[in-house]
Amino acid sequence: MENLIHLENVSKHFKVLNRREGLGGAFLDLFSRNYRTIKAVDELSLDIARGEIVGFLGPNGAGKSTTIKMMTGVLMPTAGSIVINGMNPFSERVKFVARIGVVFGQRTQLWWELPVRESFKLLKEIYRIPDDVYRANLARFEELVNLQELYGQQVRNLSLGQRMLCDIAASFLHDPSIIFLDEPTIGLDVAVKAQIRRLIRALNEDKNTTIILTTHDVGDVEALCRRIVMIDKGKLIYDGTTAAFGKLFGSYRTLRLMCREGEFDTMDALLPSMREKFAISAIDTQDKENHWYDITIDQDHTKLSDVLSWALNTLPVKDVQIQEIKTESVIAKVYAGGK
Amino acid sequence: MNKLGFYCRLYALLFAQYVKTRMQYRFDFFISNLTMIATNLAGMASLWILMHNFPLLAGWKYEQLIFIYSFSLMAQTLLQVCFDHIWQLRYHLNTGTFIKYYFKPINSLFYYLSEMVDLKGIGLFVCGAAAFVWSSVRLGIVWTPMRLLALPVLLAGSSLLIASLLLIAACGCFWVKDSYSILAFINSFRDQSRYPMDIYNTAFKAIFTFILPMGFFAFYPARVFLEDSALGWTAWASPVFGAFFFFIAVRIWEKGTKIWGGTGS
Amino acid sequence: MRAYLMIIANCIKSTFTYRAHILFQILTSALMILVQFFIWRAVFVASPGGIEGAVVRGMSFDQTFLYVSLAAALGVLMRTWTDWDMNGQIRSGDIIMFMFKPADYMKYMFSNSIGFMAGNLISITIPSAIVIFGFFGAPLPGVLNTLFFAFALAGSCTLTFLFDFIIGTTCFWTMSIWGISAGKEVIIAFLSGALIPLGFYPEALRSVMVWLPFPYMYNLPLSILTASKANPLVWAQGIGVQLVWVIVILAASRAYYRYSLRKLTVNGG
Repeated sequence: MENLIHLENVSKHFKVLNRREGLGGAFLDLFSRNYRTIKAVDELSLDIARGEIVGFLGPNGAGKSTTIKMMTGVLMPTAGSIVINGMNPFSERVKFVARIGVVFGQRTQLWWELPVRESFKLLKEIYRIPDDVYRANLARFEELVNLQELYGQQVRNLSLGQRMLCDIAASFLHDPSIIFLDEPTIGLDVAVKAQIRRLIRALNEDKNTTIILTTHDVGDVEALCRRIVMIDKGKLIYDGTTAAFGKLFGSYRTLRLMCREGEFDTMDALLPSMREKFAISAIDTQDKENHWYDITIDQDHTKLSDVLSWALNTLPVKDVQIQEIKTESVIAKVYAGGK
Repeated sequence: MNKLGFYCRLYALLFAQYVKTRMQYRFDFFISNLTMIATNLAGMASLWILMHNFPLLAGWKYEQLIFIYSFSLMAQTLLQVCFDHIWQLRYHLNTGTFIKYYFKPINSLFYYLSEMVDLKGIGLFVCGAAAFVWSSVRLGIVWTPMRLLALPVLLAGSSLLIASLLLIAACGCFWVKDSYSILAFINSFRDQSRYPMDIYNTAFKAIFTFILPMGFFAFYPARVFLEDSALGWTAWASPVFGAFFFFIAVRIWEKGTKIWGGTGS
Repeated sequence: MRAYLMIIANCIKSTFTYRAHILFQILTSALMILVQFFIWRAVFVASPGGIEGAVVRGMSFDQTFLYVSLAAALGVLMRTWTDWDMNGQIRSGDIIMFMFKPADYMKYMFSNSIGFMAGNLISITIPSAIVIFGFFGAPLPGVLNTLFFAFALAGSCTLTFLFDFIIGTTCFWTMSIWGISAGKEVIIAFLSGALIPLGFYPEALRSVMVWLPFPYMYNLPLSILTASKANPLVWAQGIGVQLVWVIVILAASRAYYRYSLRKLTVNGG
């Protein structure tokens, strides 16, 4: 199967002014500009096939948004090539954009002051959607999320969740082959998040639309993405299935120890000796009000049972829990460079 | 041609929608149009007071001055009604909301401008048209078919010229953080364009004809109807200038959108 | 000492970036004055006596243009964008902090306005005034003139603020105050003799206008400043009328503000 999205050695460099220090420096800046180059995206290569739902992850400032902007035709790459749908997004913007959909979490693509129904009618005009396709798609949206209830309301009067549903539906209206979703569930409650994820999944299955999902929400990733791409410092640091991603740190376990009342000092005093005895990944005291100490162990290096028996014998432990590592922590670890 | 038809239809749809929405804010609509009319009545009254004390301004009498003034009002209507969104450009660029204009398969300038319709322009046009009719009757202007044909062409040329110059000034925001003061400066030429170019000395007349062609906002095109004598090149130049600056403005806008990368990374 | 030097250095650094901003603001005012110059020149040149000798309604070209330039400078001085500040606060909701004490809000905005004007005075107005007087070779105003002028100016600034405040309050009612704010500038300028000296207005109109507060905002302080003869009794009278207007408009704007607030909270806006 030919790849729908093909990025080859794509780089984006920005020239940033080096601001000199001090008053004399500011004066000099007026006459001779001194620039340094920032590599926002550094030789990134990526292939995505039709119908895939790919999660784009990465810390803020990592080059994730820059990559998306290059893929959607907003920015021109400094080097490398991008071919999507057989087109160059930047140089063939208008033609390219007719075949994609874009949804931004915070800003709507619809017309703020107009009723939802009118926005959809305008989209029909703009994308030159044939009548039958238009009607069929609307019927499908109505079936999936009862969209008809929102038709008469102005977009500005919708709640965030309702607006998101409308935006997502609108992005599928013209049957694009690729949809870029940027933080679609941000700021929403659990029920609405679930509804949105169902909608995305259903429409992806209906139309085999490729979906690029940029998100910080682990729930989104777990519910929707079969594949994860992670970008940090402008480079691609992970490209694989979500399942494999979870197993990256699969050997890790978190041993939770509840400290007995009033014996924190004893616990704190003894913990260093635990570190001397065993290779401990991390000790977390985030949940200290509830008396929990979280001890993360890499089972490839340390036996959990050894640590547990020592702890029960030496530390003032009242209760014990054993947890698998969460996807969130995996993400955090990868961000921190622990691959 | 098909493309032009597409955009006309689309704009008509959007325009109709916006007018419907804006009309819902009835207080706004009345207050802003009333103020617009009052503002221009004050302007015309100022002219009247001046001419009450002096017979002529550089050889022009009161009714002719009102004719020129009303022409400038009508010429500003396009800018007021259809280009009002340019004043928000710096906000969109600085907050990043501008990025949405890249994502529809329509011209980004068209999309951007179509998002805002200012109904104050109605008051502006009504004022201008009324004063235009009044002064042309008072002056006894004979509207030959030739003149009736020339009027919309000249008006369109001036409208396009004014709108394009302000658009260019607004586009400064693509390169510089805040070009509002440039925009405000160019905007002030709208008010100053109502006076005859004959008041200026040679140097400034040249500046306002060739460098910042304020003379073509109203005076030169209006003069076509006020004088029967040979008119020279200024008579037909405003549509040429209008088209030329519009072309430049569109080019600058496109360059700006290609350069602007959005905020954040 | 080092700390102060650093602060000054930072100020200067930031003015480099604001340089263009100020430049265009100056250009905008300069353009307006330029056009006014040419207009008045054109009418006086065509009058009997020409530009040197013509006297119309008791004013020569020099006197007229001096007046118009000073009026423009006064306009720049008193432009403190209070209406737009209020617009921003109302739109963003910051106004909630002040909502329950209208008198305090007005005092707060007033002191802001005065501070802004003081800044304008030092950085723009006084230098401009010196340039203007120098350009005409006109004698600088006398001590008595300046003293009374100061009082009249205080009254004008207060009245300007109050009108701005009223426009700002209208933000509660309307989506955008663009047209209204610009309109206010033009209408007040027309009714206060800011662009054309009051002497040029026909008698009938003038007799109506003196019953309005507007001439006391521009014409009064300017005529005091440019008067060749000291006339303290007349001036004191004028300032007295100003005071009356300040009280009246103050009461009106306060009432309008409270009314708007009530309407807003009743509608749950």
